[in-house]
Amino acid sequence: MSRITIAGPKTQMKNVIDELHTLKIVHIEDYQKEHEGFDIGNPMEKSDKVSEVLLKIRSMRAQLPKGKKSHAMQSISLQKLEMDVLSAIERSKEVEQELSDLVQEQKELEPFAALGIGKDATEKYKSIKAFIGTVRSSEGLSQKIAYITTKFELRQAIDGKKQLIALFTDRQSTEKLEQLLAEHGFSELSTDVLSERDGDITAIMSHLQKEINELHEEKQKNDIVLKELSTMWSATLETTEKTLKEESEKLQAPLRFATTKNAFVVQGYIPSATLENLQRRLVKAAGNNIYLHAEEVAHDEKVPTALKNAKPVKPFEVLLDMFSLPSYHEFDPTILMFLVFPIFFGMMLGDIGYGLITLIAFSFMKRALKSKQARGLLNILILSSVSSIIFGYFFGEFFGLEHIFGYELVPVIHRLHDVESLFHISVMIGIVHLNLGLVLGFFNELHHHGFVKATLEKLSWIVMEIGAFGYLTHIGMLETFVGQIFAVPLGALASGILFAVGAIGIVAGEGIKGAIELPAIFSNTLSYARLMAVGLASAALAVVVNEMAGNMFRAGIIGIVGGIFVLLIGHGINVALGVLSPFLHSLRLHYVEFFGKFYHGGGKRYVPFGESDTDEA
Amino acid sequence: MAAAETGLIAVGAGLAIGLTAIAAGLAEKDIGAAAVGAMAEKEDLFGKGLILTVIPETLVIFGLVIALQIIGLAQ
Repeated sequence: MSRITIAGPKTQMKNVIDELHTLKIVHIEDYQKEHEGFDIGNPMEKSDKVSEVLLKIRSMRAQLPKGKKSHAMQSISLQKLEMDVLSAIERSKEVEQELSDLVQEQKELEPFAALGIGKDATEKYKSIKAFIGTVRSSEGLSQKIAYITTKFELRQAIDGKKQLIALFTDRQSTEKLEQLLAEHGFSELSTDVLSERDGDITAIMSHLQKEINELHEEKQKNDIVLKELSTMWSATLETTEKTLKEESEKLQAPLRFATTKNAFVVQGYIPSATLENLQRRLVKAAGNNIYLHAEEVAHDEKVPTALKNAKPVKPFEVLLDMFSLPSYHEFDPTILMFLVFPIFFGMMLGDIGYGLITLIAFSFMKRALKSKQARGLLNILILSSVSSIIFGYFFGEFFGLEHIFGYELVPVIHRLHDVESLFHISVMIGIVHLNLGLVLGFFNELHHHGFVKATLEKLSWIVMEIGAFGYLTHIGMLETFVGQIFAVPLGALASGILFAVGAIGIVAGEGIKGAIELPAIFSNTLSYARLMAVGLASAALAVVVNEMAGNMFRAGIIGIVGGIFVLLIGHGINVALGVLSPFLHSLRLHYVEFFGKFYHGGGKRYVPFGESDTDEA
Repeated sequence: MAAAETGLIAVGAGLAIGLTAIAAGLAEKDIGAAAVGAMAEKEDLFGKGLILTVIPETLVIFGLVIALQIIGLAQ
C-alpha cells in the first residue's frame, strides 16, 4: 500500500469524486478535524433529496411481499408508484385490523351464543339476578339450586373445555346462591360485549360470520394486488435503490474530506501498483489542477489490510474475518489455515457416510445462500467434508459400521480401539503445529524487531522443548512408535541445561509475562488431544446408535420401524454435532493455540471508495 | 483383577470426566450468555463470541485424557 494525498480546488471536487468512485481503489481515511484551518466538507447539493427518495424506496421494498422478479426495469414516476404501493399497503393493513377486531368479537360472543343469551341478559332487572359465567363442574348444580329456591332458570352449555352456566333467579336468594356457585368454582363472564349489537344472538353470530368471510375475501384480493405490484416493481426498486445508494455515497463524500473555503484534500491508501493508473485517470478527469502525492507507509503505521490469496484458498479468508484481520505488516496465515483446517476437521469427523451427507447437503445449500460470508463458509465445509471422507477411509468407518454394504473397510487406525496411538498422534500434530507457529513468529519478529528479540522470544521456546524432550527420552517415556520421532538422545544434564537456557531466554525476552506462560506450552500441546477426543465421541455415538437399532431390528415389524427411527434420529444428531463440533474445535485450535504463537491481528479492512457490499472482491 | 478394584477405577474415570464436564459447563454458561447478549447488539461478533464461549472445552479434554489413563490402569 501507498499513502496518498489528493488536493485540488472545490470546482474539481465533483469530477474527482466521480472518478474515484468508478476506480474503486482508494481507501479513504476520514478527516478527523485534526488541523487548524481545515474543516469537514459539506454534502453536495442534491444529497438531501436523494436521501429522501432512497428512504421512500427502501420502505416500499420492505413492505412489499417478496416475490418473483420477472419484470425488468421500467419507467414510472416516483409519485405514482408511491401512491399505488402505499395505498395498497394502507388498505391491506386496514382490512387486517378490522378482521382481527371482528374475529376477537366473535370469540368473545361464542360463550353467549352457546348459552343462547342475547342483549336482554345485560339489562338491569329489578327482581332478577343473573349469574353468567364458567364453573369448574356443573354436576348436580340444578338440584342444589333447587334446595335454595324454586324460582330459577338454569341454562348450561359446553364451550370447548369450559362449562358455561347462565342462572337467572330472584334477588332474595342471591347470597346463598353466590356461596353455592363459589363452591363450584364460578367465575363471572363480562357481558359488555353483548351490548354492542342489537338483536337475537344467533342472528348476530351469523351476521358476524358473514362479515368475517367478506373481509377474508377482500384480504385475499389485497394480497394478490400486493403480489402483483411486487412482481412488477421489485426489480425496478432494487436497481433504483442500488443506483441511488451509490449516488448518495458520492454526494456525501465531502463529509470525509478536509476542506477550506476553496479547496479540498483527500487522504487515503491505495495498492502501490495502482498509483500510475490513478495518476492518469485523475489528470484525465480534472486536468492538471489536481495535486497527487504518494509515499511509502511507515514501519508502524496502521494501514488497511487487503487479503490476496489464490482462488482455492480465498474462502478461508472468512475465517480470518470472523476473528481479526492480520495487521498490514505481518504474515497472512490464510494459506496455512487452508492446508491444516480441513485435516483437523477430517480427523474429528472421520466417517465416510457422514462426510458424504455433509458434502451433499452443503453443495445444495450453496445454491440457496448467496451472501459472500455464507459462500465462503460453505466452500470451507465442502473441502472439509472431502477430507472427512478420506479420513473415514483411514479409520474404516461408514456411519459407524466397519463395512459399506458388505465391502469390508480395513482401518489403518481404529478410533475406538487404538485410542492410545491416536492420542499420541494428536499430541504429535500439536507439537508440529505449535512449533510451526513459533517459527512463523520468529520470522515476524525478525522482520520487525531484529534478530536478538526474535530469538529470545520465539527460539527460546524451541530450545526449551528440546531440553524437555531430552529429559523425557532419558527417563524412557518416549519409547512409543510416535514418541520415537521426538526422542532426543541427550543425557539428563544436557537436557536440563538446554531447558534452563530456554526458560531464561523466554523470561529475558518477554519479561514476567513469559515466565507465567511457561506452563502454557504444555497445556497448549495437550489441547490438541481434542483431535482424538472429539473423534472418539463421534465414533462411539455412531456405534451405540447402530447397536441400539440392531437390537430393535430383531424384535419384529414394530422393532424394524422403531429401529429405522432410532437410526435416523441418532445419526442425524451425530451429523449435526459432527459438523458443529469439529468446526468449532479446529477453529479454536487455530485461533487460540496456533495464532497465539505468532499472530498480532487487529488489521483494518481495506474498503475502497466505490465498492458496495455485493461486489465480489 | 478384583472386581472392587475395577469398579473403583471405573468410578475414578467417571468422576474425572463428569466433574470436568460440570466445570466446563459452569465456565461456559456465563461466557455464552454474555456472547449472546453481545451478538444481539452486533451480529458481526458471532465468530468471536462462539470461539470465546468454547474456550473452556480444554477442561473436558484434560478430563478425558486422565480418564483414559485411569482406564488404562485397569488393563
